[in-house]
Amino acid sequence: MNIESAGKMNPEEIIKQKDEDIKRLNESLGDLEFYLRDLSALIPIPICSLSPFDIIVDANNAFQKISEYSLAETTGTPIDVLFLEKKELKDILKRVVIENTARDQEVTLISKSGRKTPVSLSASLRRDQEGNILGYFLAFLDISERKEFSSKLELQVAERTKELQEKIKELEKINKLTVGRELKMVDLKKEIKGLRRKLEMQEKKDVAINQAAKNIAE
Amino acid sequence: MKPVSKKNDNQPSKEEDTLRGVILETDKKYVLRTRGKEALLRVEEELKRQGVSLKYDKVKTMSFYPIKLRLASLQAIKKVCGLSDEQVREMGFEAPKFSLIVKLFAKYFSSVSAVSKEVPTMWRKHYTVGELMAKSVDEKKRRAVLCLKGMDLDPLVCIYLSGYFSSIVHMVTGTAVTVRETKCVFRGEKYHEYSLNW
Repeated sequence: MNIESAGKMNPEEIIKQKDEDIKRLNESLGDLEFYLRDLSALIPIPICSLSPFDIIVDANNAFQKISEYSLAETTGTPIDVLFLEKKELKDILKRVVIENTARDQEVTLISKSGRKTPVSLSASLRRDQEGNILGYFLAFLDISERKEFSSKLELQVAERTKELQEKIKELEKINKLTVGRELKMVDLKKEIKGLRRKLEMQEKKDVAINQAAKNIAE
Repeated sequence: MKPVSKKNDNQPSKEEDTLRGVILETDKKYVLRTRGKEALLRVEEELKRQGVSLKYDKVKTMSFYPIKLRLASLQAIKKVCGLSDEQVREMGFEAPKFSLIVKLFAKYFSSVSAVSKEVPTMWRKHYTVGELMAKSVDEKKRRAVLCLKGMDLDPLVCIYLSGYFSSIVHMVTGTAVTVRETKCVFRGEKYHEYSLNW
């Protein structure tokens, strides 16, 4: 309803029109809620929203699945109850207030049955149009598979390193033997060279002696 | 069921007191969660026997419905599910956790004092009848007193609301909350008064 048309209406019509507007707005709000609910249910990433006091006020299906808590159970629960690293989580949320977001922070989620799941936490601050803090949105990525793969890889690397170290040791041993032999050969060559020189000198000496004897005889 | 259809029983007249569909939606979620789909169908049948036509799946959360549905729905659920008063209180305790309207008020959940200022608005977003206000809030002593005027449906609703109010405080403080209805119109007093401790 615009101002111009409102001016031509009688009060009854204006009220009727306003009622219609309210009805339409309510319907739109209801549709929006359904849309958000469907979207939130579809998203496979666990998401929850917190009050400014770090208390869970909403959570999607994926969050309920990973935490094993129903919405009725989690709503009203301080978020740190669900995590192993309580102090780190508080520090992350404090940082979010200053920096507006936090990305890929590794924490451990403890489910209702006590199962510990390593998750990568991302958080963002919620503010209203006036800039007042409304709370936080938290999203979690289950990194247990990644962690498992990483630890398997680390184990493989450690095994390979051990194997390589053993090979290196063997090589060193061979090297030591080879080098020892070479050094001995060098020594022998030196000895041969020395002996050869000695022999040459002896030969020269013998030639000189023979020559001298020959001269004396003549 | 269309809340605006003139042919429908659940279309409130202009003068009639109303409640938002979100309240009936939370009733539905409680029954589904605790008793399952079959129980919800039996609740609807029970309502039909009482002369009330209500299909919970057709309820629109933001639309208005006649206030009579508040009591009718509660009574039918209590009867079909065999709920004790304590379980009705639990039902009230669960309700805000599923309410979109309450979630929109989460920005005030920084302290009980902050929420208490919004209590009258929060009430009006749910009901066009009655008036809820915080009579006193003492954060240090962890105590608040709520006052509800002009709402005299049935003592069952009083029990339900005591759970509802304690849940709101629980969502703010994250601690256990005890609630007691210290005044009640059904005990001859002028208004309802709820004392909450956390």
